[in-house]
Amino acid sequence: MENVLECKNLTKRYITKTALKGIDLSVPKGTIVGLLGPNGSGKTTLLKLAAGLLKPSSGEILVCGLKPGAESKEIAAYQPDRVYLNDWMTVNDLVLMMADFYKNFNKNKAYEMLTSLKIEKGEKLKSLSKGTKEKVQLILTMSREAPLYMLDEPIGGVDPAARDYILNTIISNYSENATVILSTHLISDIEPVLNYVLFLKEGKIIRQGDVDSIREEKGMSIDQLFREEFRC
Amino acid sequence: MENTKTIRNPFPWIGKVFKYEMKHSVRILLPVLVAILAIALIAGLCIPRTSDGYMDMNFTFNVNGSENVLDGLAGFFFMIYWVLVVVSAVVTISVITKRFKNGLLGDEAYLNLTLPVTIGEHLWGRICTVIVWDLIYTAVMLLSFVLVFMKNIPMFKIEEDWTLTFIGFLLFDMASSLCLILFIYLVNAIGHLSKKHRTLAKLAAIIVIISFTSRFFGMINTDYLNKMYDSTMLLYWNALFALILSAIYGTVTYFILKLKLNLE
Repeated sequence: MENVLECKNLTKRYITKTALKGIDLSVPKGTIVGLLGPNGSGKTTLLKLAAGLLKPSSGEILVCGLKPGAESKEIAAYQPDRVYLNDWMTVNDLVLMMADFYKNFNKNKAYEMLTSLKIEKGEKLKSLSKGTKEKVQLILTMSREAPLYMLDEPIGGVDPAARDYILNTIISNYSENATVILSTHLISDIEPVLNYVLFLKEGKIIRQGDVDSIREEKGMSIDQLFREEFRC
Repeated sequence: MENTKTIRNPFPWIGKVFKYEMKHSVRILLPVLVAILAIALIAGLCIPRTSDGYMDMNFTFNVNGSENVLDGLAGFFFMIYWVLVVVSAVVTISVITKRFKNGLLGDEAYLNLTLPVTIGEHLWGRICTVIVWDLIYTAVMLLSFVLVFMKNIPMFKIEEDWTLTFIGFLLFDMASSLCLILFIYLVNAIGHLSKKHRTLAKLAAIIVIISFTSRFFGMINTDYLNKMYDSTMLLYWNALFALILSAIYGTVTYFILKLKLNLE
């Protein structure tokens, strides 16, 4: 099976701590992957390295077979864990800008999702609430027809009612061959949609595999297993 | 699938970065420039025509009589004009450099740096924006100058070899603006390398860069300035030095962003 994300002995050191400690990882194509771990385990660092926002201290990371750079960014879609929207554009300006930069951006899909979430195209980004901004960001990411979506805490800042819609949006807006990597703490919310999980602890992968096999092997849900593995 | 080694055409991407940089800055800078032209026009209409070939810049406003009202208004608008000229220069520099800081080093970098654009293309797009705004700014300044003195234009005598001087002035103007903006980019990029003491790092960067630059060019300057009598040639030499400095600042900024940028 072709891998969409590969890490070989990947290490990321900051001045005061090592966020990732030589991880080896292969994420297969066509799966919804849960990147799970407690705070500070290295989830965001791993996704930022894949998105090309950080440089590895050592080791290698390949996104769809490419080193993170302009070419990989053109293919893979990434949503950070924070609001990045500027305050001078309207929602529509941003949709047009994304369509201008990404060949795989589907404008109509973006407009459909905006309508479903009752977000006005002409609204200024600065007038949106934080939750709505996060929804806009997710729409922009999921409107791309990408082989890999990397979503860092996509449902963390939205209300529970919107979570179901967002998860449905994620599931229904990616093609069969695409891979979605979801990093989140809200495991019970996303567990039904996952078919592969990666457990990160203190910068190391401590468990990875198929969700059904893990459930069968351990006799418990991923949420229960997470609570057991990371009990304080 | 390894990274393809085909040569990437950077121009469409530079064009796109330029387009969105201009879209951002035009909202703020265009009204300021329009205001300068409007005030220049009003001041120009109020400033009296000189009869003896010498302009009397001593505009007064006599509240007891109406004979000097136009003079008073001329003085007022003339002052506003110069205030706007200074403010617009500060605003232009501030808008362009703040955009760099927010767009490539702040939260907006999570959008801009995940676009399929290389660091070099991001920088070139911004450099083009600086050059275009400098040309627009210079053109507006010249036009506003003409408007302010529209009734007295014949008193300005244009020398025969003005073309060479004018081109020298334009080159020096562009190169020095670029140099200043790239200097600020570099200071911000260096400051961003420090996680906790960014302001301190920026201050240190300013001191180090200025002392290095002044020492390096001081040696050349003393030599050539002492021998230079032609002010036009001086413009060209200064433009060249500003371009060299711009290239140094731009290259260091590029490598900091490419190799050391860590958005945390």
